[in-house]
Parts: sequence; structure tokens; C-alpha cells
Amino acid sequence: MIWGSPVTLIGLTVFLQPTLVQYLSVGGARSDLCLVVVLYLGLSRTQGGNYGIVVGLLQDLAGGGILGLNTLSKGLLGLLSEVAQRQLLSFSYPTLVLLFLLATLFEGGLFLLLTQYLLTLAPPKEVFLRTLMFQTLINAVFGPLIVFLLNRLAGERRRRR
Amino acid sequence: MGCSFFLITFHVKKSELPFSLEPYVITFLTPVQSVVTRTVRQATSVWDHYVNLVEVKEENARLKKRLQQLTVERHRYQEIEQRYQRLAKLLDFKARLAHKTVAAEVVARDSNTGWYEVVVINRGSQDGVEKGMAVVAPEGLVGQVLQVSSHGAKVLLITDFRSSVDALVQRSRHSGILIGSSREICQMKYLPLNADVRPGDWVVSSGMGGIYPKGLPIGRVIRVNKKGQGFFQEADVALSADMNALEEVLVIIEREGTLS
Repeated sequence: MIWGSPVTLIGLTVFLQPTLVQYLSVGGARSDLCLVVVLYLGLSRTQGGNYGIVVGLLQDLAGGGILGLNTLSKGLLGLLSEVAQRQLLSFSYPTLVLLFLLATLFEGGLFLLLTQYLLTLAPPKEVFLRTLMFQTLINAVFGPLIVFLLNRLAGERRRRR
Repeated sequence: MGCSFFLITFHVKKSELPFSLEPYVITFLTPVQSVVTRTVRQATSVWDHYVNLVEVKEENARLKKRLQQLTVERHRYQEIEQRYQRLAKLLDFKARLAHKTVAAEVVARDSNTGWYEVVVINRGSQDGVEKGMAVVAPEGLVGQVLQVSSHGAKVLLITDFRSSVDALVQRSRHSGILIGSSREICQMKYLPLNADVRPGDWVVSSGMGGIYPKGLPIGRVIRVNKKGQGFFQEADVALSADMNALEEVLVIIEREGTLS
């Protein structure tokens, strides 16, 4: 299995998210490795939407949430990050922070929309807002760092070839 | 030569020479000797200390390493002891329950990032676990089985916002619905306005609905809210089981019965 390939990344994410990442929580919120990987694949490769759908589907099947919600949100985020890849010339740290911020807020908004208005079942608003706030902070801080690390590793691999 | 023989002969015959020089020699040499001896002793002491320090340093490093090993071992034994205590408590609880149960370990939490309260256990259909079965810990109610595979199952915790448990206040026997709110405190809703509920009251499962057996402890009331709720009042309930520290749980295989 080649380190840095989409299959490896997706496989690792699905294993690490429900196990290791659960111990790294702030205010009840945890980093969404799946979101980080989807954005990374969308920003660095083509077929971002497809990767997003696969990651989201695996996250839905492995988790206990509403089936299809992550598939939809990650699929859309993968697609949007692919669009961002074409529109933006470069990805500096502030740009990535902003992207992760917006992506987390987008996902949270989609979750609220579906649970509140379509399924009429949602967590209390204060809990939702607090969790979303912490999640946005965590993703905005760690997401770009992980993307930079993955880019660096991919660069090393290309140089060795 | 002659002088030597003379001195020897005189010394043998008498103890002292009449013109003895020995005291003068001693007087002159003693301070010098004293300084030299002191210097040599100090040098020897420094050397001894240096050598000792090197040995002490090495022994210190050895002992530190040994201490680290022992600390790791101590943590391991503490972990084993704590696990033993948890399992003993679980076994005692299992013996007191009037139900058939299967013990399970929590192996993962929900892969989502904080919206849902779901854990994965390592028992499945091969162990007799089915969807909808109640899951408990010695401290109290934990949740119900959401999905089952052959060797694992997902458990919806009672803190999840999708969870609702038919519960009653143990002291006054008034019933309500305990709703999860994605945090450690759940809300008990639909309590009649005239229900006698006070902070400190225990809340237990009522047995209605056929999922949770009657009498399982859920938590304690910490706050009662009577304002603006129409015909009902609400209560905040602090759960007795710590959902963030779940390690071993029991799945109740039999669905009906009461807590003995």
C-alpha cells in the first residue's frame, strides 16, 4: 500500500476517526479527519466529489448517525474543493484556514438543516452552536497543518521517484 | 663511615645524644610534612570523589532507568487492578440483575465529530445481541443497541438527541420521558405540573415501551423547571453512568423483568 495514495488515506482515516481521534476532544467536539482528507484530496487531485462521497459513505456506515448525511456533505465538499483548486492560484496557510472554517460551517449548517427541518429532530441549539464553534476552531487549526504535512510527504515521494 | 659506626654504637648504648639534633629536625620538618600530607590527602580525596562521582553517576543512570521500568510496571499493574475492580463490579452487578446478560467492551466511539452519541461494542449477533436490546453499566443505564453485525454492535447512548427513555421519579413515582441532549445532562420532559419532583431525586427506567427493564437507575434530578412549559414541567437529570468513560458494559439479552 503506497503511503499518501487516496486509498491509504481514506483507510487510515476511517480507522483513526472512531478510535484515536476520540481521545482528542475539546468541549465535546473532535477534529473531523474525514473532512480534512476530503478537502486535501479535492485540493490536490481530480475526482474530489467522488472521494468525498466514498469517505462520507464510509463515515456514515461506520458511525451511528443519520445515514446519507455525511455522504451528502462530504460529497459536496469534495466537489467544492475541486472547484477551489481550479479557481485559486495557490494555497497559503490563511487560505486553507478560511477553507476549513467555511467547510466546517457548511457541514454544520447542512446537518442542522436536515435534522431540524427535514427530520424534525435536532440537538439543542446551544449544544449545537457550542459543538460547531469548537469543531470549527479545531478543523481550522489542525486541518491546514495536516494538509501541509500530506503535501510535503507527497512531494518527498515524488522527488524519490 | 666512622661517624656512622659511632652514631650506631652511641644509640645502642644510650637513648640520646648529648648534642641531639633530632628535635630541631623534627621542629623544622613537621610543618613542611604537615603541608605536604594535607595536600596529598586533599588531592587523594578529590581524586576519590571524582572517581566516586563517575561511579555514582553511572549508578544514578542505572537506577533512573530501573525506576522508569518500575514506574511503567506499576502503571501496568494499576491498570490491571483497576480493570479487575471494574470487572468485579460488573460481575456483581450482573449477579444482582434478574436478567440474562452478556458483557461487552466498548471498542470505538461514533466516527462523527460530536453530533451523535454512539459507541461500538465487541459483541454481536453471534453472542446473542439483537437490535433494540438495553445496554447497562453498574452505575446505570447506558443505551440501546442500534445496529448489529455478527461480532459487533452500535449502541445509541441515552445522551444522544435521538434517544428517549420512559422514566419515572423513584420517590414520587411520576413518569416522564428522558430525552438526550448530546451532553452529560439529559432532560426529563412531560412531567405533570403537579408532580412532586425535587433536586436529588433518583430517576429510574419505568419499564414501559418494552426496551428498558423497570427499575434501572438513570441519574439524579439536579434542576426542576416549571416555567413556560404549558401543562408540563421539565427536570434536568445528571446521569449516573459516565458516558465519556465507558469501557465495559452489559447487554441485557432478556427484555422483561425487574431489577432484584
